[in-house]
Amino acid sequence: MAVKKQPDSNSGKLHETTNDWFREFLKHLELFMVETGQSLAANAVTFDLSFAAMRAVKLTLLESGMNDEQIRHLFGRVAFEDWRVANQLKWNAELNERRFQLIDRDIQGTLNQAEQLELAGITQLMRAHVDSELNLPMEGARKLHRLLTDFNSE
Amino acid sequence: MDQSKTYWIDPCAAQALAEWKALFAEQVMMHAKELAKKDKSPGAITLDHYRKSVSIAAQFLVNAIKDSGSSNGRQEAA
Repeated sequence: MAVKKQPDSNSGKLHETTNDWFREFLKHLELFMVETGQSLAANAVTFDLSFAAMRAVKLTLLESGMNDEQIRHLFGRVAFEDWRVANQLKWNAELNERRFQLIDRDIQGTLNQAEQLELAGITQLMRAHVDSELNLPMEGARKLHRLLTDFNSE
Repeated sequence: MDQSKTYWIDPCAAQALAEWKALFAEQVMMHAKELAKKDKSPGAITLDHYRKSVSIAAQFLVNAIKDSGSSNGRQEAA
């Protein structure tokens, strides 16, 4: 069961293990950037530089133990996260319909790369909705709880 | 010096710099943690701990670079 995140009493502070992981990630990221940057021309534009940097991020994540599918879902989630926060996007019929469209195209083998990322992002949004407390059958659970409590007291 | 001239960087040099930065950060963190442990109220590593750790970490880095330079020629690349 998904539990709503409680406010962290240490919010505003960086935990030691987080800091260690980030430093290690940063080191490997820089080393991979040396690799991905070598293919760039002297007059590379921002897009080329960003693409090489993202390749390095992917390589670093692969090295950390993630697989391709997990990385795709992670990128999709990040790509959609700001959109979600900015527009208070909630799961709705339109998104559900769009997800079915993308899944159909995926089955037909006509999904392009941007749409793959969109599908991963929308799927993450759906999972967050499914796991949220709002979507849990709380009323039914309460009735069952009452029934069991009454049964015990008899 | 010609300011308009651009340079290519030897990948070995770029890799070495990334490793040195990581080593320096690791050393700063390690010594800062030791200082934090000795504090009256341990549990937090502060900027002051980092500042006090810098010189030890820098000396450790210098020695490490010297050692690696004598064994694999990385010093020359930098």
